[in-house]
Amino acid sequence: MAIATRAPGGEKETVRQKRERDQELLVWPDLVFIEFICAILFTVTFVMLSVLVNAPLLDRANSNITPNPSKAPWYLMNLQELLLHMDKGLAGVTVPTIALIVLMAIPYTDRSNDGQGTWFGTANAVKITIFSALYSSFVIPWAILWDDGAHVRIFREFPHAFGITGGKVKWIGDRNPFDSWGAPGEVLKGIWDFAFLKNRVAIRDEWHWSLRVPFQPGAGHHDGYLDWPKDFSQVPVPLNGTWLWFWGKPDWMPGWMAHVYWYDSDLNIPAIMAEFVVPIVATLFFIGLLLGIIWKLGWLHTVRDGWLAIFTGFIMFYFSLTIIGAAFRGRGQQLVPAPHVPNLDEDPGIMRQTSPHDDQHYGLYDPGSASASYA
Amino acid sequence: MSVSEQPKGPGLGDFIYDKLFHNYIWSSIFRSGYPNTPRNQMLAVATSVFLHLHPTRIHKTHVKITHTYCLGGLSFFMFLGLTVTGVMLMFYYVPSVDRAYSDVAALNTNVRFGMLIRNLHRWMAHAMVITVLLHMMRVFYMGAYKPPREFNWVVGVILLVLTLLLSFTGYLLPWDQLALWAITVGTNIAGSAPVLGGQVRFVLIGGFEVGPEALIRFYTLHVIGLPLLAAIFMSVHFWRIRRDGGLARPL
Repeated sequence: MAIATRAPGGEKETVRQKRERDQELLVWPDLVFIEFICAILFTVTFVMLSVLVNAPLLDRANSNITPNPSKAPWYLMNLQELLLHMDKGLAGVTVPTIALIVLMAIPYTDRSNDGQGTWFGTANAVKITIFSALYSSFVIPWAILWDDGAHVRIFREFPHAFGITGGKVKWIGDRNPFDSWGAPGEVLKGIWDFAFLKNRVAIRDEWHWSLRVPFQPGAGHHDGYLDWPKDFSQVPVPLNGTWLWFWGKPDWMPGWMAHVYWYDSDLNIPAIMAEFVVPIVATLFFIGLLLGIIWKLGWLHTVRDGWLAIFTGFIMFYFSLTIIGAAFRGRGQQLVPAPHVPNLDEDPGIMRQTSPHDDQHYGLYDPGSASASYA
Repeated sequence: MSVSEQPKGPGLGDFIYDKLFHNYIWSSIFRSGYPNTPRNQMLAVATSVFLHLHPTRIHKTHVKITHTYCLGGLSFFMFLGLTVTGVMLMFYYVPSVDRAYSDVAALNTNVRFGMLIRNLHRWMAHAMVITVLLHMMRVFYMGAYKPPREFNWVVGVILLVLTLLLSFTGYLLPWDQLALWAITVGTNIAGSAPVLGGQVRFVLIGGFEVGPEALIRFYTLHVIGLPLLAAIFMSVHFWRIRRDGGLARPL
C-alpha cells in the first residue's frame, strides 16, 4: 500500500509508504536483540582476530630511505594505480572529485520509486549487474595491460616460447609495409603506427610522422615539414602575449591574477594527447560501449538500469585497480606477477619491528636501547 | 477432592533475584522491570536515551538479515569500537616525532594488552572502510537512495569520505616507514591537483614534506576534528532514516 503526498515545494508527487500496523514488529525485543547479538559476535571476532594477527610496525620513519615500491593505504591504491595511466592531477583529484559528485547525483537523476527496497529492483537488474561486472573485470585489466605494452610483448615472445618461430617476432607496428610507396606511404605509415601503438605514452614518445606543408603554423624552426611530435610540443596558448600579438609580462597584475594568467605558456599537444585525451576518451568510450551493449540487448529501460551498469562498473573499477595496485605492482611500480611483488621485509632499508626479549628494556624508558634500535 | 500438594514457596533463586533487581539502587537506575508487555516494550525503546534513536515499531521485513546485512549498524559499531580503543591508545601516545614511534613500540611490548588494543584499533579501522563501502553497495542495489531518501544518500557519501579521511590520518600516527611513505604517496596525490595542488598539500602536511607538522595535524584531525564531523553527519544520517519513513521497502 502506498499513499501519494506532495513533497514540500516539489512539483512531482513523491510516494511515501503507508504504515501497516499489522505488519509491524516491536523494536524491543525483535530488533534490539539482533543488534545486541551482532555486536557481541563482532566484538568476539575482532578480539580473536587481534589476538591472532598483529598490526604491522616497521622501522622508525626515515625520510632518507624510500621503500621500493612505496604504496598508499589500500583504499587509495586504486588512485595510485590510476596515476600511472593519466595525468597526475586528473587521476588524483579530478577523477575522484567527479566520481563523488556523480555518486551524490544518482538519486537526483533516478527519481522513480519503482523497485525501491528490494534487491536489484528492476526486471533486468540482475542481468545488467552481472554483465556489467564481467565487462569491467575484462576491460579494466586489458586496458592496464595495453597501457603497459603487454600486447607487444605477447606478440613478440609467444610464438618463440611455443617453438613456432626461431626467435622473437617483430611487432607489427615496427614493420613498414609502405616502404616503397613514396609520399603517400609516409602518411599511411603514420596511420599504421597509430593503429599498432605500443601503449598510451607511445603517442608522445614513439609515434613519428612528418607531412610536407607549404607553410607552417606555430613557433620554432620551419623546415617545410610538419613533424609529430616535434612541431606540436610547443604550441603557444592563444593570448599568451608571445604569439601573434606581443606584449610584455603584465607586471601590473595582482599576484593571484599573474598566478592564473598563462603568460608565455605553451601547450605540449603530444603530452596532452597521452595524459588527458586518450585516457578520457577511452574511459568515456568504455562507459558508452557498456551502456550501448545493454541497450542493444534490450535491457536498458529506466534511468536506474543505466545507473546499475555504471555503478557496478565503478565498484569493479575501484576493486580491480586496488587489487592490481596492491598485488601486481613491484619495484618502480612495474607490472609483475603477484609472487614477484617484494615484501617490505625484504627491503634492506626497512625492517619489521620485532619484539625484543622480555628482559630487555625497550624504547621509551631506555635511551641506549632506543638509539641502538632506531639508528 | 483433597489438595495433596501445597504451592511451593519462594526458593533461594527467587530470593537472590528479588534482592538483586527489586532494591532501591537498581530501581533508581531502571525505573521498571523487564518490559514484558508490548506497551512497556515500546516505552523501553522510546524512553531510553540509548534506544530512542529507534522507532518503537518497525516493518517486519526490516529485521531480516538479508535486507540490510546489518552493514550500516556494523559501520556504527566499528566507529564506537574505534572510539573506545582510540581513547585507550591516546593514554600512551604522544604525537611528536621524537616519541610517536617509541610510544607505539612500547604499546606493543611494555603495555599490558597494549598490542591487543592497537590490533583491535587497526583491524576495526580496516573493517570500517569495508563495511561502509559494502553498506553503500547495499543501499544502491536495493534502490534505497530513491525519493524521499536522496539527501540521506548524499550524507552517506560524505560519511564515506570522512571514513576514508579518518583512516588516512590514522595511518601516519605510528610514525614507521609504512606510515611515512604511505602518507607521502597519498599527499602527493592531493598535491597533484590542478592550480591549487601545491597549496592544498602544504596546508595538509604543514610543510613541503611529511614531518613533525604533518604528524600533529594528522593527529588532531584524527582524534578530534574528523570524529566530531563524522558524529555530526552520523546524527543527521540516523535522524533522516526515521524522518524519511524508516528503511526503504517495497511500495
